Amino acid sequence: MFNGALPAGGVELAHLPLVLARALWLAALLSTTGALLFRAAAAPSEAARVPSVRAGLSRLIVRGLAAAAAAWVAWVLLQSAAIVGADGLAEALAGVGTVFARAAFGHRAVAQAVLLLAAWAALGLGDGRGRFVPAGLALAATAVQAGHSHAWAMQGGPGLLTGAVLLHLCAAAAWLGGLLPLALVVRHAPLAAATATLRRFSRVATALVLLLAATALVQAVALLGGLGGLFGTSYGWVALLKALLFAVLLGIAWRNRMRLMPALAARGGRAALLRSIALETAIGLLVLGAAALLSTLPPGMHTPPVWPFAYRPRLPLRLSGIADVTALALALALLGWAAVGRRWRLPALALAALLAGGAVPRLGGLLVPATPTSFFRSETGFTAAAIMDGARLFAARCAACHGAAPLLPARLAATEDGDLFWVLSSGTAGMPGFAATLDEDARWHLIDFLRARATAGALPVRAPDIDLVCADGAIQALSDARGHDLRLSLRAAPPPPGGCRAADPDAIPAYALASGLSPARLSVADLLIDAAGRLRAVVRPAPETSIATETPR
Amino acid sequence: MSNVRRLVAAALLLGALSSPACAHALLRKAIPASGATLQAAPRVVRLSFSEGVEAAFSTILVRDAAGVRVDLGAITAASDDAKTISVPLKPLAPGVYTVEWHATSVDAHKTEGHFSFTVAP
Repeated sequence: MFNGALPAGGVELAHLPLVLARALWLAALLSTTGALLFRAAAAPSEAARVPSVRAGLSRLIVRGLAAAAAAWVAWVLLQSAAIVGADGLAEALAGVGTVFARAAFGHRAVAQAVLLLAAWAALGLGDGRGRFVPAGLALAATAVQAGHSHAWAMQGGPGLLTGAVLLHLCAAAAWLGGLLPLALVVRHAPLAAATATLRRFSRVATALVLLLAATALVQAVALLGGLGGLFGTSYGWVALLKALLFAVLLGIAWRNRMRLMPALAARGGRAALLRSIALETAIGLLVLGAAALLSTLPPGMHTPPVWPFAYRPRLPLRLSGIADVTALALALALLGWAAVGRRWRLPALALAALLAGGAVPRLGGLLVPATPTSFFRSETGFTAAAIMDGARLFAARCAACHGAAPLLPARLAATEDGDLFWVLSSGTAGMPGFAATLDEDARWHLIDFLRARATAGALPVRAPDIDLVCADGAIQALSDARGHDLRLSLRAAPPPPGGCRAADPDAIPAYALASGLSPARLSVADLLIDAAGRLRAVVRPAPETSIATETPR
Repeated sequence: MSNVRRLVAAALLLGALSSPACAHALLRKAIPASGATLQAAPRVVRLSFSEGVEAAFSTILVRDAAGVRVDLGAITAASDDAKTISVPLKPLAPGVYTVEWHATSVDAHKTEGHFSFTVAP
């Protein structure tokens, strides 16, 4: 089942202190924010008026702020050392000043410190609404943490993804940070008051958990890089681990609400719930550790994923495949019913057998053999230069064998770029691998050449990317014009009205190869490129714009 | 036997794969492009990354074939694009030039790389 491949973008041990410091900072920040929010929201309740709960909450908040201060110092020092490339403590200390002055990381870290200091100063603000002031300040410090994320760096500012990260952080603070205050209430408050607080917390936590799951999904879609990134990169595996820990947290929360809360009045009921909340807190810390690790790993989408399984799903999923999977899921559900249900057990079993009998023999068709590089994507951009470099390489390195035994076009079309890359790199039964003799760029250029040559003969074909000179100065390459139609001339003449001319020595041979048309014809014609970047038609050149030629003699 | 061969090939190849592009700020576009041959000497080298970069903590070193620096050193960020930085160049004579870059992304991770371009006579 596994092919022995390790995920790409491995964890670097040298980063471990930084990851740990970031995790501790995150834990202190979120738990203090959550405790402050809990204190503000629970202020009017009976439980919050119990002296030992009040005193415990104050202690929790002050200690949380102290822990946040210590973790902040460690995190800022290690991160600054990493940014300026410092070697010892002295260099790191000197680097902190530069980072505060000139790096976005420094600006945000200082803003967070100022917000937490202000929250500390505002701790004494009365019993009523004033308690929302320090809570709001700490929540703002938590929100600023989104500015340290991959999301912000990738989007270059606020956006949907950064918004999702921000909400995720705030929801995590309110939920996980509320657990220790909740434990205080369970321990010290009278039974009725504790139950009322538990019920209220449970309602809010349900909404927070849904928000956490939804915002996690947005981040997964944007950052994981699909199925390949999920299973083929360290980032993906850590994300999977984090999702698993989240599921465990949900299980514990569910048990707290459904089993332990109703039994609170029973003998040992409080102790059992307290133990469970302690376990939940510990697993919450592990989740934050996974979050800190994720923030130091390159996102899955930015890492060529090394697929670890011998098979991969056949994508896109066909309708019959979806039907088979659904039938199988239904069969499993019926089987479950037959195991625990009281009525209709025999019919359920029969129907399950029928559905499974129909679907199982066809499941093999849902999977196709995979290679470790199945999910690699070409970075060449299918440029004319890459294609023609591939053509020269093919003539020099491949034609000796493949001239006599041509590649099968149908088989080529059915093979993903990533699998072709694997075959070229590691070889097959009849062909040696080229990993040692051709660099990666050269192998991708060969693939571009094979793809271009395979399409020849029937328009439309994918148009090779070339450098352009256009009437519209913003367009400097064909890839810049994606999204609207373009009239293109390969002649060394002024561009056609409203169109572009090629400024690329490889343009004519590459287009000849991809379209199957002769270079002579291409060099006198205009090409029509559609919004999706495909060559649709080759037409007579547009009439000259020069007025002189129009003047009658 | 063929399984063993495949496994060995896989191990060798994965060793080769583990080195590239374990990066945060990946180089998305370079002007001049990697491997390009230019008819006219460029006056700047401009690099665009997959993430926003800190100009103050990034370097672009451009050297001629003899290893002499030909960049003017001062990295500037594009005013409208946090992911793009550039460095001005001295007037370039025809020849091969190497660009060595080190980038720090705004989420505080470091990456580096190099490429070369040619100014045609």
